[in-house]
Formats: sequence, C-alpha cells, structure tokens
Amino acid sequence: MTDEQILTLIVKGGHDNHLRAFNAIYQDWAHPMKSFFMARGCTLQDADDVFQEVVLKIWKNARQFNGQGSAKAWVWSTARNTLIDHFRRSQKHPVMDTLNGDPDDPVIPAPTPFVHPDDCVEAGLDRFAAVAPDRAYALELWSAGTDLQEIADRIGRRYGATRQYLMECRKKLKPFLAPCLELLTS
Amino acid sequence: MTTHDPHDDERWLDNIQKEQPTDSETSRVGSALRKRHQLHQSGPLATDSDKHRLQNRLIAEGLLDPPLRRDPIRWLISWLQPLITHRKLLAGAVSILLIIGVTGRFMPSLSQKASIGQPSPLSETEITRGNDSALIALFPGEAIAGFQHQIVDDLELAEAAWRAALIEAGIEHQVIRRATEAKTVELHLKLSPSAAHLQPRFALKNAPDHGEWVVILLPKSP
Repeated sequence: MTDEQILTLIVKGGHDNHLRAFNAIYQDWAHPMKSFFMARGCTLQDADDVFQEVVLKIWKNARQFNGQGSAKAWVWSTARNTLIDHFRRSQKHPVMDTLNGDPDDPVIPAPTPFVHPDDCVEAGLDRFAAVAPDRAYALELWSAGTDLQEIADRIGRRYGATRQYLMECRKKLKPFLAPCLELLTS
Repeated sequence: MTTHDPHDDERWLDNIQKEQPTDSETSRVGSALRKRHQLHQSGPLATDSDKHRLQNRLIAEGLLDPPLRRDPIRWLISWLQPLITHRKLLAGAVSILLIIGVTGRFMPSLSQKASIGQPSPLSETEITRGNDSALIALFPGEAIAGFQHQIVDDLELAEAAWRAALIEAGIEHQVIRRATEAKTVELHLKLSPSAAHLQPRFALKNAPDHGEWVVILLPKSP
C-alpha cells in the first residue's frame, strides 16, 4: 500500500479503512522510521515513543495533505520534525551532520590499527556515521538498492539534489577511509 | 592534490550498489554499508507489543475504534468473505449451516425471552416471611417465562405463602397439578368464577383449558 493510499484510508474513515491504514502504517513505517530515529541518537524506547507521536500527528493531520507532492515526502517530513520536537522537549542533542565543510574540518578520531581491510572500512564508516549520520544513512539505503526517490523523501531533499548529495559523500567519506588505503592496496 | 572528477564520483556511486564492483575499495565500502543497513534493519524495532501499544494509544486518542465496537454483522461478513472468495465453499457452507443451527437452537428461547414481561401482571402480591421477600405476580399464561424470575429460598414455604396470598386477595383457586421436577414446583391453578376479572387475556400454552394458570417457583440455589 502506498503512503498516499494510507492517508486516503485515514481520511475516508470507518472501522475497516482505519484498521487497514493502521496495519499498513505499522508494516511499512515502523521499522524504517525507528531505525532512522535510532541513527540520530534515540534509544529503542525513545524511537518507539517518537514513532507513536509521528503516527498520531499524521492521523490527525491526514486531511492537510492536499495531494500535491509526494505523500511519502510529507510523511517523512513529519517524522523528521517530530524527532526535532522530541529532542527539543527532552533537551537532548540529536546526532546531526556536522560534516558540512571540507573533509579536513571535522576532528577525525585516530583509528585503531587494523589487520583486515574490512574491519578498517567498517570502523571508518562508524566514525563517518558519528559525524555525518544523514550521509551515512543515505549511503546505506543506496547501497541496499533503495530507490533514489525513496531516499530523497526520507532525507527531505529533491530527487536531483539527492544524487548529488550521495556523490559528494565519497569526498566526505575519503578521510575516514584513508587509514585503510594501505591495507586495501596491499 | 589530484583534480576531482565528478564522473568518477558518479561511477563510484553506481558501483557501491553492485554486489561485485570493479575495485577493492568500492567493493568493501559497498559491502560494509550493506552490512550496516542489515544491522539497522534487524532487531526488535517493530514488535507486536509495540504495535498494540500504538493501537491502544490511537484508541485512547479516539482516532481508532476499539475492536469491541465492531459491527458484528460486518465482522461476520468479513470473516466469511475470504472463505467464499478463496473457493473454500465447503468451509463457508459449514459456517453458514453452523450459524443457522446455532440461531435455530436459540431462537425459540430468544422469542420466549422477548415475551417476558410484555403482558402486564394482572395481580401483584408482596409476600414477606422472615427475611424472605418475594413479589408474587399473577401473569397470563404466555408470560410464564417471566415468572421464572421468581426465585425463592424455600419452595414449600413459597408455595404456601403464594397460595395464602391468593386467598387473602380473595382469589379462589384449586391446585390442579404439582410437579416437582428439577427442584421446581409447578402449580397449575384453576381460578374460581369470582376471579373472573383476572381472566387471562391470552390463551394458556399447554393448558387443557383457558382458565388455567401456571406458576413456577424456582429455588434460589439449584
């Protein structure tokens, strides 16, 4: 079921429509959204709480979606805003991308020496995700074959800009993988 | 510093999606990213208990109907529909037969229940003996089922009290039959002509003639 169909069922109302919408929401949204929230510093419990808030907001405001633009983008925009509200309320700091300037800008922790290149790459990605969670999240989705439009909707960017954003990730990721180059070439 | 080639980035991006990319670095990065993705997809992120929690929250907010408020007819249809549409006609037919059977079994008692108390009692007498208090109502025969609600502690006492009340009320009667099956006393009474004003408005079921009244007294603890 598409997100647009889910919203339509909510607006239509009636027990059966609502039940179908609810089941579809849980099946399609719960996993990716909670995973997204946890990537930004939520605990599992917090992620569930935020997800509940997202569903409530969407359920209450489904009528406000006027059909212009992507329903998925609208849903994920609500999810991101709810997450920001959650951090604001709890006075915690979300894990945000701090890697916006040159690759030399962030303080990259010194990597532990590795023997195997795979371990080194994984550790490099961990460090990258710690300072650039949005980029790491987008790259993960991309590597798993997620549709570019889907990624765009989730991270709140336009389709064309998302591809550019992903391409830029290579440059951003490079310094984190630099310690592995020797292992990779040997 | 080497010159940056955007086409190279584009190729890199396309290659990390491939299971077997061209170079070792891209291959390992793609593999590590997929591993992270799988790791994030695993775990108890969407459990049944979380789902119930969310459902309860929506119900509490009045956004979702609780399951009990469902329309039983619609529920029945939605339950039977898959059986029929999935060509499980036999199962569907069995279900329908079961429903008809169950409905048929309970329909007489339902209709009987529906008639309970419909006719107004022709006479009401309160009998008090010790701590026992019972309202004896004289119903036309069709309301016998209604009279079954008359529950007393002591059958013999209740019978005697009931008859005494009839006498006190000036209603002459005679006991036609007394049945003591299943710890009940069934008094079939023939009212005297002096109680003509209490002539039943309805024909008495299973009665030899229309002047007969039936009272059933049930023990409080069977």
